[in-house]
Amino acid sequence: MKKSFGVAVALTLLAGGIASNAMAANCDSGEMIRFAQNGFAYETNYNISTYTSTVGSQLSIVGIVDYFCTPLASLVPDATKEYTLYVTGLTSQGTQNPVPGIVYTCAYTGGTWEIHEGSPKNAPTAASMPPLPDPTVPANFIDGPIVLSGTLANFSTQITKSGTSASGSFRADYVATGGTYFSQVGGGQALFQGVWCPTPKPSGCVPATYSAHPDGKWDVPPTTPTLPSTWGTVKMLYR
Amino acid sequence: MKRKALLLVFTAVLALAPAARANEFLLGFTGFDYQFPNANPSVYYDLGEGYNLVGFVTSVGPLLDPYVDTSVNEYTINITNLFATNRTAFGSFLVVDFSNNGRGTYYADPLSGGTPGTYGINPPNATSPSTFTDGSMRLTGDIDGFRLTFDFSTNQGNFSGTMTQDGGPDLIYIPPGQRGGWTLGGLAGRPNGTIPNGYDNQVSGECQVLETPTTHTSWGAVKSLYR
Repeated sequence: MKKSFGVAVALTLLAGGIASNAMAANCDSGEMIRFAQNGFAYETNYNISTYTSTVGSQLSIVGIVDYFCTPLASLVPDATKEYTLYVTGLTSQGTQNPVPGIVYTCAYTGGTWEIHEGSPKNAPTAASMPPLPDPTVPANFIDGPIVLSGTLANFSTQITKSGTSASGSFRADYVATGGTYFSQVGGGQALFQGVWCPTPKPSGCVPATYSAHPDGKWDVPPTTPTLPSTWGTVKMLYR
Repeated sequence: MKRKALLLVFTAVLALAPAARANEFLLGFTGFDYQFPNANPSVYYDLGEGYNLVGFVTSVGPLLDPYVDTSVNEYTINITNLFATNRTAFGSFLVVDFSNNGRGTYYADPLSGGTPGTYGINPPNATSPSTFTDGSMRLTGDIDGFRLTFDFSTNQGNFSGTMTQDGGPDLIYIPPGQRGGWTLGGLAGRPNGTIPNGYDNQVSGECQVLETPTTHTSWGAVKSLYR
């Protein structure tokens, strides 16, 4: 019986492991950091039934990174270590409805972002996102050291209603400004963009109390990382 | 012995069940889209022109996760057979509706001996879509109600369509009641340094399937099932 119980436990762990395994990197052209099903946005003053963000509403995003690509390919989530993202400080300029009843857009000013390396893996996933407020959001997404951080500009969301469903996108420019891996990325500007699913569950993909489900990526900055120097220092290299 | 076997089966089923029930996410992808046919290049999705997307599957949800191994295969995606049937401009916005019966398919191509997906330029070309569709077809679905919206002032857009998974060897991993769903994508146009010449937008997208339907019941009702 003891042996059977052991096998049962092993099967349980195996099944759980299968369900929680992150897919290894399948990097696409230009992408640097990818997150997908485990990304969620929330706002301080947002009406999800009308896709309306009130002027001044504060938008935040939490999520779990699926994988990293060059130049951060050495960062690999594993069984005990997760990489999480936290975007915050985005201030709504108010939702516009430029195509009546169909398209809803919203621009946000400001914004900072952080990628944390956390262990143990304690960030809630798509299957376990708790209703807000909750002590684990954003706490369990920011409880490890920062590997990369930066600022955002021109963050905007666009939502299109089609029949009873809706879909959307987000787009912003980012620069990295800090973190233990900053020197590998540099301060060049690149895109932070992806899907913005705005429809609440059960028919959509947004858990109760959240405003959207983003799924996207940071692209590789186009510029080579540089460090400030002087002519004297450069000359020293050749002496 | 019979009791032990039952215990093992029950435990395994119990452990697997939450993973299948808890998540609607089927797969995520990135890639680039282009118009073909593109009879009128000066007009973005003139009537009759086709929407095409090639790219890579970048993540999968619990339903497919046990059967995907990126250390062995490259996983690619292709969306095609969608033709613009209606286009309406509102200021800087364009809303385009497409014909039904589009097709979304994902493929597995061995890393060893396979052909890496290669975008090239000005698709269709010698490598695109061919190197994205020459693997083993794993799952395919019908796309209806596809709508694309694009804002030329911010070079940002999105698409969505209802999607019904209806073919491929991996279809068996999706319970029959969950094969309906939708596909959606976020579009980032130029200026965008990653877009190869001839493609329109960088795309991040998802395919989602419906949650397992559940109904409320009582212990008495459950017990009566076994009497």
